[in-house]
Amino acid sequence: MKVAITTQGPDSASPVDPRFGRARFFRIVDTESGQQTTVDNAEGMNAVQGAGTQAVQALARLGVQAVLTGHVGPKAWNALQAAKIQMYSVTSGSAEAACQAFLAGQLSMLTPAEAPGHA
Amino acid sequence: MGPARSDKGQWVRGWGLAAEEGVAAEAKAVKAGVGVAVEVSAAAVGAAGRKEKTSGRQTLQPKSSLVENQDALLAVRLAIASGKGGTGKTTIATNLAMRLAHHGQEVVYVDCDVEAPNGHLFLKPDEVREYPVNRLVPQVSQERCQHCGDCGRICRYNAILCLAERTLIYDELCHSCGGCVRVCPTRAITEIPHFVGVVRIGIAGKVQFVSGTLKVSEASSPPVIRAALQAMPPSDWVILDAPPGAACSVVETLRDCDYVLLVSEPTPFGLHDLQIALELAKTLAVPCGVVVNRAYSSMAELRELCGQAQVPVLGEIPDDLAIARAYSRGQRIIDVVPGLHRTFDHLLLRLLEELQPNVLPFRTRQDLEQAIYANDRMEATNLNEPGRLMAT
Repeated sequence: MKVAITTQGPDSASPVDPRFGRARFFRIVDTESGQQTTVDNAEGMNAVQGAGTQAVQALARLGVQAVLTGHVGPKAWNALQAAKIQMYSVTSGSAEAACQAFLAGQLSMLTPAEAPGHA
Repeated sequence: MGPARSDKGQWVRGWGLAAEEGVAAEAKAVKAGVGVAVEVSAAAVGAAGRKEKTSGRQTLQPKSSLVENQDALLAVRLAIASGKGGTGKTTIATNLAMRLAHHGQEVVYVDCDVEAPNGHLFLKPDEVREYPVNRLVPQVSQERCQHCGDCGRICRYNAILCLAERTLIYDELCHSCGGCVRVCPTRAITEIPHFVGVVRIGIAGKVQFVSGTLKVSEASSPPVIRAALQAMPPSDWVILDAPPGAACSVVETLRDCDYVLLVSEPTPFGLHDLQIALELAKTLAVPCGVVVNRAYSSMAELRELCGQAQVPVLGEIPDDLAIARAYSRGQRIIDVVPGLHRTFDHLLLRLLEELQPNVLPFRTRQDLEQAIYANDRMEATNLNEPGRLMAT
């Protein structure tokens, strides 16, 4: 299973980025092989609009099945659901710690209440 | 929408009626569920826009047989804008439109502040007709789609999400460019109308009235502004009441304008935003002048700012409780505050000095100047005092 963690830096010690579409990097972890890669999300971070949908598009192409992030906007929420990507909540700590917590089953899934539309 | 009315209003110049039938037919087709590609419905109202205007006007109501240059028949496009909100754009625009009409000019007032239009409160138009405004958004046939992802790649606005088994469209992110339709190899994408607002057309005394209203929850106002501009009937003058700020809705309004009047107030906020508006006008290469609302005598900072920008101050509306009172009652200030119509006449004369000859046809200029001075002389005779405008 491939898991994406939104992070502020390129390595596994980097802190988690609470934003989804506008996260600085995506840390992709393959939980079976243990292989880790980093995807630069500079384009999404600076997108005028549709950062969330763009991020989902990128993750879906990579075959990601779960994301660990802080907040997901309403459009990205729909997109992740359509792409059958599960959403788990992490708010602090490093990417490595988040991944360990996920594997230990300690993370809770994001609920629709986490995706408020802004005015 | 009722049946096409007879051409009572003077704004119906042949094409108006035909166009309405066209719009009605489209609306019916959409109601009946037929997939008709309607771009902006109100586009039909304006026929082919400005180009059509010249010929329509000449055949139906020639103004002067002496006019050989058809371009000379195009209206002067005057935008009333400001940086800051609430400085008096609508006050200036509505009163100026009424004053121009009073002097025998054909005037169209267009409320381009489609997020909060309020010109109708002061012009109180009659015979108002309403037209829907739609923009086109893609729709994907899931049977035809082969999930190649081409549409998602061409979309610059991230409005299309291409998944392995599904293609999702986000209408609110779509800018209606039509790129996805063109690149789809299996023709799985068709465009359907997405309702974004209405355009209302009516008549307020001698002023022709057009106003756009954006549907609540829609984020992008330019499609409705464009529809309102396309719905304008032909005239000598077009007064565009712009939205506040300096964002894309203002750019859409100021585009193709001949001149922009920036309404400001002599306050720190007013000056700060006037500076932004001046920069915008400069960037768009639209010549501009400033009208000060709630003016007092010195206003050194405002004059200094205009001086630096080499932009003239064309008029000053005094800070007067009677004006505020009239405004709050929805009255036009030139009708109820004594002497204020002269302030607007003076503003018009200053504006005529600023407008380039290629913008303002010679005849229009002459007619308007003569009308303003004749009106002033008549009033002076009645009051048994010297003409005020001649003296200034």
